Amino acid sequence: MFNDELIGQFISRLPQLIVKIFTVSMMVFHLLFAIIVFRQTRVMSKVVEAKISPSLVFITVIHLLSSLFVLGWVILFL
Amino acid sequence: MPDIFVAKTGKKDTSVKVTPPKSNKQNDMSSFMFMPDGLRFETQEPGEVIILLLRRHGITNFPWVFTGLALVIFPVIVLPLVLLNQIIPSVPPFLFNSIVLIWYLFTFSYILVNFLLWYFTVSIVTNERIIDIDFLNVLHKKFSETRISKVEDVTQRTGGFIQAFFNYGDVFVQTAANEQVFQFHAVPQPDEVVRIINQLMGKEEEENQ
Repeated sequence: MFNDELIGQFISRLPQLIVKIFTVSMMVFHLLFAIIVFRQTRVMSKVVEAKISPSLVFITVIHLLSSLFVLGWVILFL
Repeated sequence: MPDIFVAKTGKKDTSVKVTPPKSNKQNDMSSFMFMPDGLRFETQEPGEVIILLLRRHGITNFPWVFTGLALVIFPVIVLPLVLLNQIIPSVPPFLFNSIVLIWYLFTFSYILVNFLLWYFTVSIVTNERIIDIDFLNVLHKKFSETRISKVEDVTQRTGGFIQAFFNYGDVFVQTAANEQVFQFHAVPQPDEVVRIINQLMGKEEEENQ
């Protein structure tokens, strides 16, 4: 009886769980992508050193932090 | 006693005498920069002066700028309509917020990556060399260079209404023997680029004689 209720609850929550796992995986990949973008921008900035290069690196840091924030949001609230 | 042989000092003339282009308005985001200030590149040698820094013409960014704007505007227009007309009956607020956040994060990434690829894909002409730096994507970089003395032929190609209207096109730099052809894609003022490279080639020939 207890097991049936547990399985029933699990099945009813399964779609939400699948969506959450999929979204979290996607956001983890995005975080890795954001790290690569940040690292590559630093490399690019050394190849061509312009006045706005530090600003571009700063924007990629914001991008990385945004990715981290959304990952946290998805884990906590989705 | 008279000198029979006087050895050359080995010092190269690093002064740059190139006629500037007719229009030379430039800032850090320009696609055509003649003798830019405060700009360096990784393998720049002492005494090497950047004559030209070229990027693809700004108008070539139109497709991704337009797509980016559409991606920014899309939720602002569509989501209120979806909610007002109850097309999707009950969207929980947390799901709604998550979708919007993820949407804008991916839009941010799309715009940022396209901008970075445009900004850092440059062709540089110095008084010594021609350098082509291509960032094919975030992970792949192609760096090629040749000496001005090895350049044999410079040609430009402009075709189509948009290229003629905005005055941009491709410049091909053919180097000696079986070496590669440098391609500057969609650069502004291709005629000026060809003229400046030809001037540098002439100067290099004079020095070598």
